[in-house]
Amino acid sequence: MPRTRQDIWKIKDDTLKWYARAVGVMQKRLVTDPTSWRYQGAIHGYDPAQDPFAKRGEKLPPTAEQDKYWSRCQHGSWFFLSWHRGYLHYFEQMILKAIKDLKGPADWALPYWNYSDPTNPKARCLPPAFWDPKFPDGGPNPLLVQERATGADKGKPLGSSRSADITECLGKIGFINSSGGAGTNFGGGRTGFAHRGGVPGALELVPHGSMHDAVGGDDGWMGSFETAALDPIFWCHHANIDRLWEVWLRSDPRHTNPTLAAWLSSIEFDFHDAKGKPVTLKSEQVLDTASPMLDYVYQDVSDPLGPHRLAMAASNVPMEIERIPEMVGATDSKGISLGAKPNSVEFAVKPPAGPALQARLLAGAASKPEIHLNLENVTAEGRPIHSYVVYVNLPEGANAENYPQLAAGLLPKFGIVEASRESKDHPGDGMNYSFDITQIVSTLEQSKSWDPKKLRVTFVPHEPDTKRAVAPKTNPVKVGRISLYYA
Amino acid sequence: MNAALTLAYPRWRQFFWRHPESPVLLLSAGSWLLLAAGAMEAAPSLGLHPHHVDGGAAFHSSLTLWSPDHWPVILLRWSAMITAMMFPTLVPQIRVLAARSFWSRRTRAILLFLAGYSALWLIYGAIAEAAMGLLRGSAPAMFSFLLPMSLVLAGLWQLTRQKQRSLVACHFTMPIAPSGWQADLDCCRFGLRTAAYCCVSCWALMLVCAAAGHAVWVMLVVAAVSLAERVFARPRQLWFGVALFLFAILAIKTGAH
Repeated sequence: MPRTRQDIWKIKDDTLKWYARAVGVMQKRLVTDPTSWRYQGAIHGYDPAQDPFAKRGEKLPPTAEQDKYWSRCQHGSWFFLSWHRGYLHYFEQMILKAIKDLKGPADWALPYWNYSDPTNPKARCLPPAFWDPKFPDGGPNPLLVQERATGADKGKPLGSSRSADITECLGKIGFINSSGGAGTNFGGGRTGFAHRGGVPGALELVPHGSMHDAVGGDDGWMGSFETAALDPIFWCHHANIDRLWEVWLRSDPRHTNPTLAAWLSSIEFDFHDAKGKPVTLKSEQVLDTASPMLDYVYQDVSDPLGPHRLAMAASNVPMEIERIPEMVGATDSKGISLGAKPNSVEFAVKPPAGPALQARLLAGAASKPEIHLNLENVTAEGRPIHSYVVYVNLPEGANAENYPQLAAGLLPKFGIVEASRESKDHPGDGMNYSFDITQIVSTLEQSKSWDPKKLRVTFVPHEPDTKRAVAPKTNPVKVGRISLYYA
Repeated sequence: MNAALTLAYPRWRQFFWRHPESPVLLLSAGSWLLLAAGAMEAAPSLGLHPHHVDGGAAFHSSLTLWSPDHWPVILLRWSAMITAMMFPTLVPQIRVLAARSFWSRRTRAILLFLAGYSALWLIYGAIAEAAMGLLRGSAPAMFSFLLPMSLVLAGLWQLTRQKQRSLVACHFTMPIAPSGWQADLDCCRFGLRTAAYCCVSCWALMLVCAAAGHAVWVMLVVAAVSLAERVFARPRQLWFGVALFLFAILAIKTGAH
């Protein structure tokens, strides 16, 4: 009988108490121990300059070991989900072993944080177990982290409803993004081993990235690759992302994982097991959560979109048949600087001349292309920065809140600063994003306000529901280029 | 919508649409054939000119007299070498560049990118060949150790942090203006910048190729390494392997003498 990963807001037993005790055990281990809290955090990302526990002269694992096991998280890649599932599995095994050593329950499983639960008014709040200073045994609380967003330590809702919105990602039919970044699907773009790769999949963008931002706030641990996994809520957040993968797979027979060997078996991931022994894992080994190795199921994998799904998923493009996207317009290469105020940019759009035109000629003038808005080489020099809601053809001077139908999506800030620094792990050319705006264009066409010769894009700073007492001075975010694709 | 294309257009045409890098790979394959067929063999080198460099045989170097007349051929040889060895490593950049260009500008953008990329490598090649020529003229005794020295240098460079950083930096992308002279300039700049990272990453390996008289089998090994280390999940271990391989050749060579 597989273990059950429970919703942190619906737990009736001592699952969170045992989690806290085991985290406390791991936090006491030395960073050179692969089963220590800091080592596990460094697997996701490590930068000595950002390490909050660094001590002068302390011994770290040898460089070759760091190169092999640290800073390995897969982002902007189709390995995002499978790598993180393996990462969570071995972490969970370490926690389970610590719990067993403390004479705790042998069937303990990592709980998940379902911040998108429409039936729970506290869904976007952290349970007291993560901020009560005296939890679980009179204090100090190993699950408590000070470096979180405003209100996190008072049980206030984090982020906004947009941060936890799962309708976009669960509405995607395919797993793999289209090539060239023109078209986001559920799981991410095809890459090799990619610590900060190409264009994120829809799930990685929202709610994954946006909820990292929501907990991390302006400069908290959850907001950075290098410190995120040091916050105990990180693991519950990623358990929920892992659960949403299961929800997506079960919600529609067309939702399937890639079957290409390049995804299933070409790349081996390096981890350590509960005893600290090196192990390797491939994507094909983590497809069934109830397998003897992974041995878990989720408390709830029902489809929250329910009857709305069929209306949303109008596309019937078969999996793994890539569309051929065609760029039809873009801004120049000087970049657009975004700050604390809304900023708009307009650029010319040409009619398609390649495959998009040919396809239209073949399929008939009545056929509609998919239309994608790309944000290329998005960079920022340092925190704090804003995340932004991206609008298409928002009237000049209009209040964006009155035009939700023109919102292309949320541009989370998670990872932007790290991806802008040239390092041994990244060329420093920033992040890339792609939004499907087909429905928005269709809406504009119906209201006769769509001009196929030009496009206006507006970036509006995204504010969490719980405002800070004093908003900090933020650094600008630079969008290298905005482009429009037909496919 | 594109599903209609699947039915209406021949597969080969769709293939080229989907893989804008394929003509570049064909060009690379052609260069390999040229190099293998010894089409460049008649050309003298400013450095070492092997009559034969084949597996297991000691490198046999015959010195040829340097002459400015040889430069066009030397540069032609480097062009073939860059096209054959380095162009396949540019597939990700070419795909990005094609995707970020108007349909009518795709070929032009790729050609300008490759021109910028090749220009920097050719400058490096010219400097390397000139330095080898100078060394041969001024210190013949040291020159005879050029190949072992380049192997040691390449082996050591493979293990440095700078190598790792520049290898990662090879995946760099940048915004490209959509049209006009700025777009052409951006494509060239993209090529130059990519070449700058690649030169830092692979200068020592390419020096081995030059020192080995552009022997095809050496170039094949170096090309395979250059390609593999860009896609390999654990490049550091690969670098160790490459370093060992390079040192092994050195040991064999030293032992043979």
